[in-house]
Amino acid sequence: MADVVTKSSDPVFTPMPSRPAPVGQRGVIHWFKTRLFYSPASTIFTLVTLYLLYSIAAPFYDWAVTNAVWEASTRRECFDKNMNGACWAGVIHWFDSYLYGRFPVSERWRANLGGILLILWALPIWLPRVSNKATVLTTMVVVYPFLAVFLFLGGDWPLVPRAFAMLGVSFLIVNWCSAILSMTTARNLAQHLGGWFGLADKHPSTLLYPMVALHAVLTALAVVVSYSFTLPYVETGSWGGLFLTFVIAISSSLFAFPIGILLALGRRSDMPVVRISCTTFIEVVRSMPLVTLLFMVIVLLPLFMPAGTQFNKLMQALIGLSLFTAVYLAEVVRSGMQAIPEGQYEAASALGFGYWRATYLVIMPQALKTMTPVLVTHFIGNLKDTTLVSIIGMYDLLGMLNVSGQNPEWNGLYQEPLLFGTVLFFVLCYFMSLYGRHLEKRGSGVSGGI
Amino acid sequence: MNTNTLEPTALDGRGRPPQRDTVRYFYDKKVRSIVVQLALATCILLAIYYLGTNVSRNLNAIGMVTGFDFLWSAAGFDISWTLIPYSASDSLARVYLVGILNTLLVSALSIVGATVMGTLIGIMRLSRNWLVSTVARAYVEIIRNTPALLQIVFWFGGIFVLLPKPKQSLDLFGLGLFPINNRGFYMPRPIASDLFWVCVCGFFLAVLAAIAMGRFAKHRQLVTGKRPVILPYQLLVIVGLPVALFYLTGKPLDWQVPELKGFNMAGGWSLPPAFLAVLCGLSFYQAASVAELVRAGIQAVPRGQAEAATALGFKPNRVMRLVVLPQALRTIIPSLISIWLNVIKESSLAVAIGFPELITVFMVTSIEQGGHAIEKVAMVMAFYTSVSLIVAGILNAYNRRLLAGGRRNG
Repeated sequence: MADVVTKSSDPVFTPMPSRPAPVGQRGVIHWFKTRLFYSPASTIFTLVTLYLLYSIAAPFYDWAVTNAVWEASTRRECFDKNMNGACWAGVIHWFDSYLYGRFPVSERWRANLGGILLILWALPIWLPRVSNKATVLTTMVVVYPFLAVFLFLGGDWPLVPRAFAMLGVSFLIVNWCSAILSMTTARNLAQHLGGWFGLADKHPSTLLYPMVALHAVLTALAVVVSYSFTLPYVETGSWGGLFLTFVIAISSSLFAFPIGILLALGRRSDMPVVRISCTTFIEVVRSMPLVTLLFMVIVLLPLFMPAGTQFNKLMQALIGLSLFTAVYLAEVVRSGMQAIPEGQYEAASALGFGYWRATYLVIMPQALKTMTPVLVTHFIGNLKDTTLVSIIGMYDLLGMLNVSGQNPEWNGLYQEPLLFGTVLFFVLCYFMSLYGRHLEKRGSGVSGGI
Repeated sequence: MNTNTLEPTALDGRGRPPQRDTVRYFYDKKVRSIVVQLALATCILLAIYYLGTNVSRNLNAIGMVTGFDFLWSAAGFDISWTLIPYSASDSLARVYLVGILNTLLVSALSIVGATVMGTLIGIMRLSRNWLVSTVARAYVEIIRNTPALLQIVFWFGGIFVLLPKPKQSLDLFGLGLFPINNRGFYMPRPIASDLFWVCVCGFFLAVLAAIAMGRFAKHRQLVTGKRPVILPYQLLVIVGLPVALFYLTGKPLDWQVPELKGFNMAGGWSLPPAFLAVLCGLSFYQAASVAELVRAGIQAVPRGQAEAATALGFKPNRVMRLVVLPQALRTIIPSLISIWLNVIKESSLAVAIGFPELITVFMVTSIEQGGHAIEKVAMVMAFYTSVSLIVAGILNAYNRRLLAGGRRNG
């Protein structure tokens, strides 16, 4: 648009401030008139809805608040205090079990620490001007799980897996240093290190060498330190509660991610064998309920594996859920890839990119970015679906909520724990869905992209 | 690849420097694709072979034979609630049938419930009335952000099981006909005698007559421009004819009302608490999805359509019925059908509260009792896959018709 030259002496048009709306057109009463009582029918609807709300809310309030019992050591005691109220004392008594299951009390800090580390790990993604977000995200998917399993499981680890776990410590430190440096100096750690070692004018890939050396040193240090203490072994059978729900939901999403992307690529492939096998797999799994898949993994996997293979229920549940999530994810990724203009593929191949490079550097970043809100929705779905592992006898949050009612002292305590679980799930999922909607409204993925 | 030699290199036919044959073949797209496909096919076949040998070795070790002969052996376990007569001595094939029928019944009722409730809530969400739309929105948010399984378990353990004992049954609708207690929900059972088929035929005849009246009214409207009022007559025929026949044939229908006998109810039809829990859980859960779908579908119809219809003098309900809804349905129906499919799949959650649907009876109980896991799992998979295929077929047919219709209407 051409610039309009304005002389300082020209009169400038300033509109008069608009007058406030007439008294009858604003304020609370007007709102009531236009939104609740604008016609005879609407008045009736409003009153009926109010009455229905009252007839549900009033007894519920009496049960949940007025008559509720907050302190008791058994359900009988709750009844003795007040027959008609909720026995929140039971929920309070079992609260820690709902969060951690039968995880030993003295070791629960490890579960907490694992969660805090994950949040710490992911935090740079939301910070502005951080240039190593791709590394942060990739390492979160590939490296963090080892560290988490090391923490949660404990026990004596051989050197190589231990080194993998400690690589996590190294990456956490390096990622944060790099993020802080790139926020303050606009150059990340790799570039700084490269500068110090005189690699700045060399090929960019040489910047990798000092980073690898740094990771090697840090990992070695961490391994040495890690030998100075041993975490008591906590078998996966005693993981439980919200902690287990999170472990399953997050790790099955992580496992599902690469599988889903590969399946999506396979389904869009030109090669008939690849396309047909991927499509068949996706469609067959999609046609089945998750329960079937979980039972299949529990019942059939031992039959399909060599005799004597040891099975871990957590592992089996993860396999089932990951496959289930992966096929749905594949469809999400596929639709994301379909939304990318043909020109992007053509431009990439004109630049001489092969299939994998074009996919990794051009197509996937854009597809994933546009699909981020849908991915959030899928994670919520996955978190909700995790409750199904209680059907195959695992003690996730729902499993624990049912356990408390079977305890002799709290026999029949079902309503209160289930209500508590509902509220907990609602809070978790609702805020995540708000975040998803926020991303959708902004029209892009995580700030600055992946 | 970069050569630093300065001599001019001869180019091959495609304008590229010559390469060693092996390298060229490796970079040939066609060769590559064949290699990759062969490799994948080999991997899949090897995996199948590996798993197959494992299975046969494992089955041999426990002395099991594969095959579907087991279907005709006696099941040996009871099923708490069946639609068709069943006893423990019946065959496993019948167990499969019982499971499918139970799954289909609970799914069908849940589909009806979810669709009716969801449509209502979806329309409520669009209401100008703040309270009504907020209540609908709160419903959708609460339901969608909590797991379906948790809701079903809550309906079961938190509501239906805690109802009073049969002696203190609650009387639904206050008619004395629909008692509900912790053993389930009861309703009168119709017992038709000989001539009842006359009434049924009368009903179908009346429906045909009503359709004919509708055709006639449409014809009149096209010819004269005025639509005759026929709704009262249609209702009169549909209700009147069967009722008249009912009395003429001497009331050939008896009701067996559920009554308290000893500690339990007897007579009538009954639905166990687990059934009710699945029904309510699924209906309420999927109603939220249906509501969102209906809202989105109606909002997707451009505003101008409704405004234009209003400008043409259509009354609000006709604007909705003749202009907005037909267009909204085009976007709503395909997704609605996939929600229905989801209901059928999610009815499998009933296994958590022990309602005897397909998975409970055929995948859990019967595998625990008699093995044959592979065949049974395959049969369960076959059921769900064929349901999905049928639904996909319906969807495709609908979309094709929609496209054809769109072209016809210009």
